Amino acid sequence: MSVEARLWEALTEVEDPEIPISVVHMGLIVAIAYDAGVVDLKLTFTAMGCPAMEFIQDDIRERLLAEPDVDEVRIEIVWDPVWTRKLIREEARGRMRELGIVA
Amino acid sequence: MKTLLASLADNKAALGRRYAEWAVSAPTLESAVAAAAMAQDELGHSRSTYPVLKGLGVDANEDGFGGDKRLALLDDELPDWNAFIAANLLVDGVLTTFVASCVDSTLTPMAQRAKKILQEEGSHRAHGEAWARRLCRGEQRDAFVARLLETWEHAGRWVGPDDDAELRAAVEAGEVSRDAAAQRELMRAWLTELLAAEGVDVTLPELTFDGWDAERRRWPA
Repeated sequence: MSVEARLWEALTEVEDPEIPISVVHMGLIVAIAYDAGVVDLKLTFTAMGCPAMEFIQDDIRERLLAEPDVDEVRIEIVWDPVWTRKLIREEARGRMRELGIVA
Repeated sequence: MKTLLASLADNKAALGRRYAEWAVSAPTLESAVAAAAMAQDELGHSRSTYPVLKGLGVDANEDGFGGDKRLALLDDELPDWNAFIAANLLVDGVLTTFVASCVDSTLTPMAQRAKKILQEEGSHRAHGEAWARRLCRGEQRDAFVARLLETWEHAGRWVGPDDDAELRAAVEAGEVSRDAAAQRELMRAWLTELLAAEGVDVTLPELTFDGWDAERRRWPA
């Protein structure tokens, strides 16, 4: 498994603070690149006024820094592609329906 | 483009604050919730625009509350619900018309944000239009139309005179696709049609620019 694949996997443990679905399954992680201990991550949000922006970035950073070969995490917030419900991973939709959330 | 973007961000911050003040006193519970949601969107749009300004070398306040390039209309609370809906339609409307003109901007960070802002503004427009129809059908009609005309005096001037130098330069640079006259005409046509469908004949007047402050993109009233 490549380092990037392992980082994607690790982020399935980081939940959106408002919905118990991971940031990966919510479709918030746009890209992950890894080079020599440094992770460059592109992140989007469901809304520009998302009140949990700081929490989510802190949680992502903390989880990735727990990986043995990660020394630094650089997060860039991007708005293109525009997040829509279509970006929610299929495997998360059942859980969201259980929670009464339209997905 | 720097003043335009700074004013866009400052106006969105101010509009967010003005929307938020109605989040506990709108005439219906649904609209109170909508006011809160729209406020959150506006503050987010504002905050997301300041980094574009920083990229252009402007010393911007990323908290989104520091700038003073806002419409005079937004200096104080919106006095009644008619004024709220007039701002929802016309202030939000002119800012969104400008953002829509940035979707293919050569200023890439703005083009990227424009798509997201437009996605979120769709519900603002739906809210404003629904309330406009409702107000036009009730006893508030004349008071609402009066608020629209007052609001147009401010919002209609935001893009500046037809030959506004900053906007013209932005169009020439490919940063914005429509000039001031084209943006203003889109607004005028949309609102006139919206009200005409309710049997309300409104003419948004031509605007003069005596006393217009180009540096803050505002008219003193």
